[in-house]
Amino acid sequence: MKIFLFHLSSTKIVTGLLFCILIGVGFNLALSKPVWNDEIYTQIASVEQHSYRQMFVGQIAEGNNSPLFYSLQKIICRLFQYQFPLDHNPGVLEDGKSQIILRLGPNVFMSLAICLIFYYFSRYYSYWVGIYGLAFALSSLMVWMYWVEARPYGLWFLLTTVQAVLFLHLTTTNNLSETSETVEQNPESRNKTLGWLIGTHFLLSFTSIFSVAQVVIVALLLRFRDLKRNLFLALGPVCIALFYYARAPKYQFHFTKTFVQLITECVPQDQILMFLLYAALGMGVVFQQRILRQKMLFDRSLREGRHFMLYLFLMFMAALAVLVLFKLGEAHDQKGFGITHRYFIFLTPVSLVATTVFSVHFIRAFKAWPWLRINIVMGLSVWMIINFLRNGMWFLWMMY
Amino acid sequence: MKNKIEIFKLIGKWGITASFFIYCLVIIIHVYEQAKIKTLNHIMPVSFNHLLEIGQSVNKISSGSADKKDEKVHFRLKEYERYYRAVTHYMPQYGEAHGMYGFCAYYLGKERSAIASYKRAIALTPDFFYFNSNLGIIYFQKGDYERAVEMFKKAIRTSPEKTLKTVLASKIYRQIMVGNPHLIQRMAANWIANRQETYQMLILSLYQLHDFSEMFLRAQEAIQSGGQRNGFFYYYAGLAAYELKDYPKAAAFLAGCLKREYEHPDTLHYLGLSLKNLGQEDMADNFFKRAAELRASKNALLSEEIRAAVKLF
Repeated sequence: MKIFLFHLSSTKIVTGLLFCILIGVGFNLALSKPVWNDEIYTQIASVEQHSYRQMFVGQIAEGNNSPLFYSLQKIICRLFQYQFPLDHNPGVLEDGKSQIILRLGPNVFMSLAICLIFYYFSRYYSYWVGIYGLAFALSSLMVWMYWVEARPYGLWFLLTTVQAVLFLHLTTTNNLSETSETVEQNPESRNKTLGWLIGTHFLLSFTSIFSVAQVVIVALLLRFRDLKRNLFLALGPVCIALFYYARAPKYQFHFTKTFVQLITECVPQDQILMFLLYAALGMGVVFQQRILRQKMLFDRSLREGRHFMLYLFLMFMAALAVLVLFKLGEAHDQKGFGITHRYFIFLTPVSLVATTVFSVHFIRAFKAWPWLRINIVMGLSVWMIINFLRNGMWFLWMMY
Repeated sequence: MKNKIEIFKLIGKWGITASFFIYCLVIIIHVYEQAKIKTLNHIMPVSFNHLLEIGQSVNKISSGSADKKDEKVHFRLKEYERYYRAVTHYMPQYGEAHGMYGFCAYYLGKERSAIASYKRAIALTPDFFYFNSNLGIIYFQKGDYERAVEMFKKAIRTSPEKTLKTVLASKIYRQIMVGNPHLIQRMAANWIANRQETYQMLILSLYQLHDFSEMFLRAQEAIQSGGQRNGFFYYYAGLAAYELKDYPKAAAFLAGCLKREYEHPDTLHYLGLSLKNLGQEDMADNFFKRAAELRASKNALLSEEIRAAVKLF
């Protein structure tokens, strides 16, 4: 018990330190790039020109209605008595104070999201898995690009990370630490987790219309039979998100990139390949068990990820559905806004959590073959390093 | 026999792992090399035009500066500094990158980094006029005249051909030339003027060191090399001659200085002193009077005026 408490507190301390470091990294990053056109527009048109009431009744000129984010930005500006300077060049603002204050919220959100990944995997798996998850998060181009963007993406990223982690926790019946004993989740703990998830869904509904798909997918996968739970988990948040969507102005869009490009900018091809491999192996296990009625070749951990795999798959399908909807309503003659990868940023945290979980499952699946396991660990580590070199290295230079 | 097969199996297995490990290392190195280029491409400033403007218009930025204009310049300089630091980190063989980093670091107030970078740049491209001269300027501004003299002498010894060839062959300068196609022509056109400025600072440094004989020689050398700033060199040749007590030469050079419309209270004053030492007291008094009149409107010492105008190339 004592050891457990020590472990718990040390994880929290390390996570706290990590949060401080990440906040520092975020500030450096914020100072290294000027505030750009869209951030300026959000600040002027959606934050400064509107009261809290106007924000929450959806009287916003932006296509994506995120009252939660706008109100948080307004609170931060009030706290620091900040007003956007009007004497700036069109489309860009190089001002240290603005760069820090406007991006304070997104910096905190993104840092929290990364810390959550580290904390969850350190707490329920091992420090090594936590570090692995952290390294993958810091290898994601989307994380670096939207870490300090003074728009709702950081908040959306955080809430999706929370949703993914809570979903993983709810669908994982066992304590996953390889060395610890298997403990069934008690109903009280499960209800508590569910409560957090409901809260997250409500916050998501105040953040993005795309959250409708996220909320519905989780509700469908958790398959609660009673109406009350579904009402809070899905129906309520969906209604709120749809209300804000109905209130938001509708703009025209056009495609500048292909579907594949838009998706792979959020989830790199190598990660998708890993998911496919994991799915194929998982299906192999099921085939062996159910059809061939043979003893399992792999460890059952490959089956443990099936819920999350389904969640991931449906998230991709939701992104695809959104793309199809965009395509159907695409403006002719390149009118309107270009569709960018950031509309699908919710795929990034989901795939980061999936990559970490599936990697652990891969290693465990080959428990009986130590030699193979060593090679897999080596392969995954190299994959992580390569990803960081490709996507994270240049952002570190940005901060010097 | 069975044992042997087991051993072979084991060797085979670990052989595969070792090969995989080596393959992984090779891949990491390859990706790292690619990542270096990617990093440089990402942090490369959109335009290098401001870099040229900075040298012309900005004084060294103090760290506590709150001026709005300074903040913008500071922002741009930081961008260039970051880029050149990355280049020097990943491609330390590029002397010009060290030089450019030194330039940015100097204007950002990081004097020690600037000196270290210019030293590295000179070690890699010793025959490049501008790095020698710029390092000399930094020493000069610091008041380290001995080192400044050393660097200015080295700068003067460099040939224009070698300097321009270095610029043409440099990837770093080529990036700057994308937005400034006439940079090389401008450099060639300014060559004499830049050399003259270097002579000026060399002479001022020698003056501070009281090395008047060397100062006299260098001033004469500068006069012979031509250019539009001969008045200055006539003045310092005259001043050196005066300090060496060679009054006829001093009077001749100082008078030559006045002919070249280089009328400054200091010139008139020293011409007066030289004439006084030559026994021409009446004429000397006239010059003293003119010097006093002029000093009322132009108070700064000549050397201070030059020092204030000094910029890195």
